[in-house]
Amino acid sequence: MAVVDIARSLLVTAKHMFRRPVTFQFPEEKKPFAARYHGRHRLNRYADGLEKCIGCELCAWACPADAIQVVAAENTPAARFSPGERYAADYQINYLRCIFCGLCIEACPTRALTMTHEFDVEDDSREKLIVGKDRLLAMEKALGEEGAG
Amino acid sequence: MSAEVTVTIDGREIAVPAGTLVIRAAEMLDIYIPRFCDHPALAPHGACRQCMVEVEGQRKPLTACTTPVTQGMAVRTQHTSEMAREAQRGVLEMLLINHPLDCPVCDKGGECPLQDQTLAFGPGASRFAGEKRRYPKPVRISPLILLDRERCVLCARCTRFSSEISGDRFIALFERGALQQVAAYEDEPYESPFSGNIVQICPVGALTAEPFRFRARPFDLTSTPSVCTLCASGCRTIVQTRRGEVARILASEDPEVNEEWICDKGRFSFPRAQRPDRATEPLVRKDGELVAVSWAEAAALVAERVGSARERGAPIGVLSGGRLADEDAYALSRFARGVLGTADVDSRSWTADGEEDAVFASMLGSPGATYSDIEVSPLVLLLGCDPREESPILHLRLRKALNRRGSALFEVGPRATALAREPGARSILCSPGTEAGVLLSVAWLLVNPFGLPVDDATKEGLSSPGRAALRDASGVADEPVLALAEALRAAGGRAVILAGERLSRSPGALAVAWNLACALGARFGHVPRRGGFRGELWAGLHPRLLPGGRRVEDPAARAEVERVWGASLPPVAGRCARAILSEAGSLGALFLVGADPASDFAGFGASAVEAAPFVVAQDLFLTESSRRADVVLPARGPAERAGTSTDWEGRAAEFEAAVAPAGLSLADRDILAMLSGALGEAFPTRTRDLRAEMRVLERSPQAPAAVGAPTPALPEPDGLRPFSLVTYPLLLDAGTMLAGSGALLEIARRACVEMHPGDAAALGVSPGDPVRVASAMGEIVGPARLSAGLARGSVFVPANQEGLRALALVDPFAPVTAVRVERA
Repeated sequence: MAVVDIARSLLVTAKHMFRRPVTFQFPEEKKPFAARYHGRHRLNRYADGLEKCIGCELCAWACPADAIQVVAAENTPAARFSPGERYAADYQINYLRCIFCGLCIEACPTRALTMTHEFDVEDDSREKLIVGKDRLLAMEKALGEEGAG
Repeated sequence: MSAEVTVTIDGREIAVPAGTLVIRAAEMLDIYIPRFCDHPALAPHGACRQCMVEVEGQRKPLTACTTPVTQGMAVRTQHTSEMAREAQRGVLEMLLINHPLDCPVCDKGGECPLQDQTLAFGPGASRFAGEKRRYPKPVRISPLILLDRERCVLCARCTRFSSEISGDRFIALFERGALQQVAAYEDEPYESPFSGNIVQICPVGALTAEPFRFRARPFDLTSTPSVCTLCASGCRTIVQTRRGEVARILASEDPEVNEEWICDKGRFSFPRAQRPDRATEPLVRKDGELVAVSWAEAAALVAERVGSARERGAPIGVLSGGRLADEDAYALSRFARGVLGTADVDSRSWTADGEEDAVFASMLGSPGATYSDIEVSPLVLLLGCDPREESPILHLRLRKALNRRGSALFEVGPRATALAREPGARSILCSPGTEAGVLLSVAWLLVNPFGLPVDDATKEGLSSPGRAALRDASGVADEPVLALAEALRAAGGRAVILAGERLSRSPGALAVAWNLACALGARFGHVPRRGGFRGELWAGLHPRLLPGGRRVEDPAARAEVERVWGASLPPVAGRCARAILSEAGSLGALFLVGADPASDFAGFGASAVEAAPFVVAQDLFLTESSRRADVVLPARGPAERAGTSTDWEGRAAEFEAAVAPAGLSLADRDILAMLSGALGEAFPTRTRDLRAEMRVLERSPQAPAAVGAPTPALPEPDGLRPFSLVTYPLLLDAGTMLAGSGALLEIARRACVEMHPGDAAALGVSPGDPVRVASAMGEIVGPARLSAGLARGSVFVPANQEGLRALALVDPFAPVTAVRVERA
């Protein structure tokens, strides 16, 4: 009976020799993600360049991993960052803590915070993995729709 | 009010006093009826209509916050009545028509009654499709308070607080209908020392405070119950921190003390912690400069210098300044007397005479006046104290007694306080330093013509020979004195006598007031200006008192303390702060623990600190004194330390640390334990050991006893008269604990020279004219302000206002400073 079993399993292998392989050559080759994939965050702007973030800290409050820190301040006529009175003077996401659950973007009342399809989170120091407002705003050019998530 | 009625709420019966409001009766049954305008401390108003309930027999729903219960009333709330539910939902929908729903950026978001109640009782969606009302935002009604009118639900809590509680009618409801709005007169900004309370009681985010604006979300704050120690009112507070820094301070509720209010000084002065002149590490003077060293090096240096001073037999002076927690004060007293072996300890920044200590000794061992006594007393006699500037919550309680309870208030002093405007208040204006004469006359009237029964010694004391001369010098007519005596006779033991620390400027006056209280059986309260004073007095930071109000001269009392401390105490009375400072050059060492004589005693104090050969300053900041010291030891400040604070009533309250201490700072008691260790002496190192000792030294309460015959004296006349300087610090001034508070200081009153209109006319001075005030110590020039609430021949200058420091004029050796006043 053992001979039959061996032949049966060899047949499985042989069948796959004539199918298209599942493996692809990452990173040379890239595949589209599911539309709602939870990748790295980005902060969005309005068409006129003002930040959508109003510094309300609801993302930080929603975060189960305590990975987000927001410090708000008041816009002045001389230094206007967002429409209205309040803006985020400091905005940090700690990717050493983030679990990519997406509760933050769900909490965001202005869709200022969304998630991209960037998924590679690696660097050579802890400091570099705490991403500030400058880098989150620069993520605008990254993959994924603004409406992702 | 005594009759009880029975009502049924949601099918449950309760008996309540007649006249109780439905909403309060429901609270007693733990039934919560939603509300915005209702506030237990404010009169019923019925503005928001949120508390609608169904009352059986009534066709329409009624507002629970304005409807008193009646016998047999059957109330059904939103829990059992569709009518009430429907009415409440409708009101919420109406309130939200014009409410902007900008909760994510609103400072109230997360602790907002409108938000909470909409979630709990409101409709899920609005049917309103039009444009919401918009206003330019925000309106700055004071440097501290901002108003966003579109968020307002017109509950009138803020305007009612201003008129009913604080009595500063700076805001009111303007316009009618949909355009009705809270507004302030543009030329009269809302500058009240109680303005922060309207932000706390606002049920929406219409009123916000500048220091907290956009600083944090309420749900992101860590709360620590605490006690405000900036004055002796003893307010319970909640210190809220974010990421290790104080973000805001709220009033906490204690019906016995501050009810639910605090003043703006307590609420908004916390930014001091971030000041650059904060002492964060031990500093030692090397080659004329203060340089940072380790704690060990600083302690070794102090031990070495103290050791050599002891060998030489040079005296050591220890001053504190009314800013310590009770445990720290006790540790300092134990360190000064037990370890340093000195009797030269004092915590008073005022110039005092010798009769105070007898009063203090008896006061510390007997029950005194409380806030509750004031509220129910028919007569309060206020002496040498301006509560609005020195103990603001006491001011609110006195105002409540006058306005709501119909009490009477008499005040005797050279300057009328803000309470003089209230109904039932009467101000007896006398020349500075002659209060003792007025009080002696009152006492004499009570004892002789009115026949108040007293023992012979008291009678003799109250009929002191100097009485007539003092009365003549006070410039007070007969009628008010007679009125006061009659009022005191009528009130008898229900009267309350409150004496501030400035009463001590009239020699003998405190003792007369105390004896008067004893003779009447009235409650007596001593209201110091600084929050730590009462605790420091109890601890024995006084040249003639040991812990618990024991007298230094009493061998049995000394033995009790010696037994606890295991040290022998010097049997002599020490010198007061003034005497220590005037001979600073001969001291072996001068310890300043939360004391700043260079500010409190101005030039005299500064030169004394310079003259002292070795000065150790334990302080939060590099003050005028500590920057002249040889060793600066950084202490922990408010919110950084745990401890106990005793208010003017003698009521103690514990508080916890809310934030991590600044730099290497240590609690005062730990610094003293370290210094004792460096000196090779045993000292309790744990707070609970100190507390255990304090409990052992607590004396059982005794009846207040009259002190020996006081010896009032007339202020010395000199060539500079006819003007006498009246000065004391206002609530908001250039003080150490206020510097760096930003917007709070913008509402500090501008400095001025206050004069009686009659005196001003005689000198040809009109309001606003520059006036020169000169004393033997120096001179200042400030704009004149005329006030009839000042005794003739007196001139009032705030002690420590930015740009005009009257402290520089004060003669440290005279009870009253004589000045020359002229148009500059």
